[in-house]
Amino acid sequence: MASLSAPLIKRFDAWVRRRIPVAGEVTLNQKKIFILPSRAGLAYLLVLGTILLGAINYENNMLFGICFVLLSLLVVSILHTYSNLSGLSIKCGAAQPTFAGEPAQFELILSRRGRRVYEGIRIKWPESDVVTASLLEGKQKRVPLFLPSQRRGVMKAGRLLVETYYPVGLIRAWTWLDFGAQCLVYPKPIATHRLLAASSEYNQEGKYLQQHGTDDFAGFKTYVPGDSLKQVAWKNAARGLPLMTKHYESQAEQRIWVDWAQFDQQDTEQRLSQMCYLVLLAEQRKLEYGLRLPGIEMQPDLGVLHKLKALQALALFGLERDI
Amino acid sequence: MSIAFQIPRNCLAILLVAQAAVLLPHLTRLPIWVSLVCVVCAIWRVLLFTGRGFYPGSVLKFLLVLVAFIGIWNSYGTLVSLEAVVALLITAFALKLIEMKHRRDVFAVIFLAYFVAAMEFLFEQNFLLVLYVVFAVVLVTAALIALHESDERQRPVHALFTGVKLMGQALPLAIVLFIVFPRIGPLWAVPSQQTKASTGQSDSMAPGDFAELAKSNELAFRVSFDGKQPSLQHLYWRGQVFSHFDGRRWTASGAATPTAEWQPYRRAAQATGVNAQIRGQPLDYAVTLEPSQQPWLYALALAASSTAEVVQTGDFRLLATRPVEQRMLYRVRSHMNSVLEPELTRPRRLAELQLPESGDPRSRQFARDLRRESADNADYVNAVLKYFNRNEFVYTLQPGKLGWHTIDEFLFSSRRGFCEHYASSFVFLMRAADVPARVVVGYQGGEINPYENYLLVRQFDAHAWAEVWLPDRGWQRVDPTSAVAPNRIELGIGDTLAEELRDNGPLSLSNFRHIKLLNWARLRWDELNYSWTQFVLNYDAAAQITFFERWLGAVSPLRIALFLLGGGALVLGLVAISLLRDKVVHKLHPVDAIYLRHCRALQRSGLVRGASEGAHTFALRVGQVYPELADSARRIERLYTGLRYELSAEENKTDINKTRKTNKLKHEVKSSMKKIKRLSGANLAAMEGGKARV
Repeated sequence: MASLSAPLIKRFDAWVRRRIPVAGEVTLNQKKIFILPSRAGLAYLLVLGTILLGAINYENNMLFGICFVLLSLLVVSILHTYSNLSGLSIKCGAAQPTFAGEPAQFELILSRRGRRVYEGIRIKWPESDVVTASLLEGKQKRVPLFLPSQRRGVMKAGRLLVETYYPVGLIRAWTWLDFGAQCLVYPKPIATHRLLAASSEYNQEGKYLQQHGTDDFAGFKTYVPGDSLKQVAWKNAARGLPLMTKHYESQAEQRIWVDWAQFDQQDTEQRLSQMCYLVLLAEQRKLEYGLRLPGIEMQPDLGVLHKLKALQALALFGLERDI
Repeated sequence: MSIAFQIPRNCLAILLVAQAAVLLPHLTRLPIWVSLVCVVCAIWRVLLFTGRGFYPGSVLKFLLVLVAFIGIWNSYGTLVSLEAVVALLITAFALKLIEMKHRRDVFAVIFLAYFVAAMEFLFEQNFLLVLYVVFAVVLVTAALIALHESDERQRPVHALFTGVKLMGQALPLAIVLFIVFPRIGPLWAVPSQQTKASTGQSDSMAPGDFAELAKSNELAFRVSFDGKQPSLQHLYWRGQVFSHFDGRRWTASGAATPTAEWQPYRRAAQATGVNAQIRGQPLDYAVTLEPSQQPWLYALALAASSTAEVVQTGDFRLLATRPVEQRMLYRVRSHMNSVLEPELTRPRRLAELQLPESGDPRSRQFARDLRRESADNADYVNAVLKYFNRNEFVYTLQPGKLGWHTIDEFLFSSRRGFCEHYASSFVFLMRAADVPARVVVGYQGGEINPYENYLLVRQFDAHAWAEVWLPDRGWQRVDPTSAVAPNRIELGIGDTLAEELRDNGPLSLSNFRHIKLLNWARLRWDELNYSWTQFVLNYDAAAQITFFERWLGAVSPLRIALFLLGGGALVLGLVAISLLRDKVVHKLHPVDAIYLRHCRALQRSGLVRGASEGAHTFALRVGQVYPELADSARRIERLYTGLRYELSAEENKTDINKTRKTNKLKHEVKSSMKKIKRLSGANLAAMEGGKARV
């Protein structure tokens, strides 16, 4: 492909896009499957050519015979390889967000309607390793596919290459499927000691970061997933009341701001990475934290939803919001 | 990032077996050390697989290849003969086995396996071998499949099965290609077989030469006559004519005494017998000659052939333009009563009278005396034959060794000999008495296969006889052996020398020709091989044209293309259907099947059950549309839902009840369908076109 000139590639891409548009679930059929001899298939043809030359020169009918049997094997295997893809349905599950530099896990679901066996299906994102899967028994199979992430933001997985060489490896049938699959990539967390020094407003309370204060009871709050189970008011729950968490005064006091402004001397990515670290750290230590980015302010809070929102804000900061 | 490639276990297992299968037929031709290399490499590979071996380094690899080359050179004396090339390939094939590190190496080994399997056909093409090679190729294909199979497959059975299936599907297409592919001549000269350790006649004749042949029951050639077959005793298949004698060995005259006007060959087809007068009825037949590695062809005198690449020699033989390395089929027309060379020129006469300067003095004297007593040359021939007949000459395979004066010793002391002794001494006696004569070598007789009406000529039918030139009568065939052992000509050598022959090959099938069943099987087997040769191995441009004319009406590119495309499309279409037609996921419950049959009948009448319409609602709607059906529709619905959904109901607990109900349902549906048919027919008539009532 590298040898093709850029406009040609562009036109080819556009053609593929028209032919196989973005879809949530794709069932492979003759419109979507491409099929050509593999590199091994070409070598095989070379071997057959040699045998054919021998057959002609020695006028040996059995050499002709074996040459044609092997050629027919190649031809018949076109059908077999094709049928090893056609009828296969592929769905791409949503990928969990990941941190830059770590692989994102996409889950692909291969399924079939009939009984046909699918064997040796190789799946790959443009930037990922190949995973080989087979669907010998059962209706469907989940195949995890890891895609290494580079930068924060929205990572587009691109077109999924689905190919097979089964049964004889001489023919390659393949397709490129666009699921519009993408994955949110958070900034890579970079450790920093800035927290204590930088947030002057809460400087004196910094010590609470080290000791988990659970002092004066302040009241109940509705449970949100992610709250520590230790703080759930189990007695109330046992009485049939909705799940509540006990809230303590000293915790409420421990609010920090993860503030863009604190990191003025660094470049954007560096800042976001350190802010990401702080968000994770605060979440881990159960400190309520707020997030300030130019144009964005999130009030201090705690819990999984808050964390995800904060991380998303960090991931997408300054980028086009197209999630 | 890619993980080191490890050849799948199933693939390796099948590959090793396939390799052994592919190599097996080659082994007899290979030096023993090549077989050893193959075994060692296979063991090495298994050790590698179990993690105990080491891959050869580049220095070791280079050394191994070098040693292989030297070994081949040492064994064959060359690197470019066919055998040497094959041996080289096989050695490479074995060595590559221990070098398989990547997937592409496995491919290389598998492709080499295909190639080596194919090369077997350069040496042998008989039916049994072809079957065997097909089996080996299936194994190789199975190895290729196992390379691509999921590792969830525990056993190699699936790969083997798939291999058989693929090959079975490929075969019909291959046959179409085989028929259609144009047979053009060789593109360039190819290295030929260096030596062939097969029995056959050589280009000279000395005492003892034929004893070896007489023990071999290998096939020499087959003959099928167009018309009636002449009796066996007239079938003298001329192969070579020897006119030069050095006291011990007979050779063709060409090399020893070049006679310019005698040499030119004519294309046999044009031969009209310049040196002969054609007499009598023509006899047409086709000869299928086994590979002999020699150019001479066997035919009855006076032979001409319409086959390309066959020429006629001045001594009325047929000759192939190059050594016969493959089975060869040639057509012959013989005029057996013709007069060969009615005029003998002086140089020709001298050539046919040649004798060594000295040697065998007694025989020369004997010949001159006997000639003087005879009236003419013909009378002299009879006198010599009478001499053989009257004295105690023995026809035997064990004549004992002869010393310096071979003719003298044979004629006057040992008197034990095989056909070449009689032919040789007879011609000697003729020449010594100034009668032109020569030795002819070929085959005599044969065995008739009654099932297919052809003649089998085997190596033990090899024979030597004489030709004597008589004025006006030309060359006359004289068989001195028949004077000693008439049975040899009348019954064939198998019966004449039965005991001597049996000593030498207890397992040879021909020895058991008196056992009826075995004989039947033997002849049938040969018949199969013969048909195989006739129709498959000899399928050439001419046969192709015949085929097209017969089955396609004419030889036109359009028809051939249509045949190829049609045949190919048919075969591939069937394969595609079998592959792509997906089987129904689940079998319908028998009760559902009955119910759905009813629904389909209603659908045909225009009443379609909605996708989410239950049996009950549908039954009600049926009642509304067709009041006549209302009752039966409700009964069907109740039976159906009862059978399928009220499993806990008491009456559904016993099988007898269920069967009874199912039968009732079946019956209801049947009668309802009859009504529907009647109704919809009436409806159609009434509504002119049958608007769907949904």
